[in-house]
Amino acid sequence: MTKSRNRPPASAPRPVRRSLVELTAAATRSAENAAPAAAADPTIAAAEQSPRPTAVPGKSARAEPRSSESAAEMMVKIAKDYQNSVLDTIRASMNAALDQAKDFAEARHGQPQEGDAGPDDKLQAATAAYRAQALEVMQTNVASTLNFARGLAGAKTAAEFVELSGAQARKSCELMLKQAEAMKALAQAVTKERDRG
Amino acid sequence: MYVLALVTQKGGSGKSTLAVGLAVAAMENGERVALVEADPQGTIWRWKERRGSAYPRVDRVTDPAYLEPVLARLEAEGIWLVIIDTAATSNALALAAVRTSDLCLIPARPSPADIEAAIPTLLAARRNNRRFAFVLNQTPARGGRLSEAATSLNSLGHLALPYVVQRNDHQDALGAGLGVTEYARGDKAADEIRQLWRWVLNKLAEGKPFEGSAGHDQIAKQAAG
Repeated sequence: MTKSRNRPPASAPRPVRRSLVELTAAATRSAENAAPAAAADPTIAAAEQSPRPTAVPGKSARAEPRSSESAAEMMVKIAKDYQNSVLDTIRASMNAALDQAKDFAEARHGQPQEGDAGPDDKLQAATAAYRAQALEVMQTNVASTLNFARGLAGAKTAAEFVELSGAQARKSCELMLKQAEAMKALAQAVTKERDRG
Repeated sequence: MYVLALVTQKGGSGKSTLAVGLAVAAMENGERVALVEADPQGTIWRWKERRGSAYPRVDRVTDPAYLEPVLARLEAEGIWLVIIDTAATSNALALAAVRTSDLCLIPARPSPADIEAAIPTLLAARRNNRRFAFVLNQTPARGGRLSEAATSLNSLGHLALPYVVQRNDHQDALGAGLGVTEYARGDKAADEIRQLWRWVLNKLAEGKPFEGSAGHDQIAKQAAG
């Protein structure tokens, strides 16, 4: 007597098992895509707007729908953080650049003067060019950052937000490379002048 | 005072059991510990009723507005660690717990259901700038599924170590009103929870250096070592 099979024969194709890693990646993707949609979910939105004992006055007076507030707020916060950090970096690098320019000039002035004003003038000119370039770099960076921040504030969806962020990262990378090249050339010119003098 | 929150919207992932286990393990390390139960299910409350000891103390919170006052009171009383156990849902109270915590532990079993359910919690922690870590809970002792789950969770964020293996001691301890480190002192389950507590302690100290007594510095060193 044979025992009745309670499993299909081995030859029958078994459904393919999907690994947890793959499932997790899929879940993360869909969660990230659905971030604004999730905020529209009344339960989550309610949780987001949780009745904090200290409600911010005027918050409810916002014109935009409350449901999208959290996602929008998050985006604006990220944009602001980004802007602040970029501005800080710019400020720091500007200070460094200007200090460097000053150092160039001072190093020259510190040396005993021998009356040959020629190279010194050239050095001054090179230093001034370096300084002007540094200022220009800063202006470009600020303009680019502000443009980006404005774009972010206008972004409606998470996809748009991500796209903008990516574009900005690429743009600022390209810009920085170009600027670094220019600054390097100028710094070399200054050094050459100084060494000659 | 440190605040540790156990959060995930998935039921049965082991939030309450871990909360109790970690609280007792921390207490055995000489910490002043309190449990805050933000879960109407009352698992911890009933555990406390079965427990013969007054410690750790257990407070219940049902309204998010009361969470911060309760924490402030516990801090004033000299409590050093608060462990908040939350309900298996994404409600305002669970979110308040995330917001007030120094570290969120997100327990997940090695199953797609748990890992998927952990993602909204993870996003909430990130949005609120909270530190978080996954705890791989109720795992098989070994095997491919386990490493798969570990890889998945690692791809999402920190994964606490060690993994907590599925053992009856955890449930039995809960039933006896004890921490697993009290119930099965020398056994593997107790060992894992002790190690997990050291991991958590280390993470807490990373985020916010220990204040106060030299004893805590020593504990931190132990945890680091």
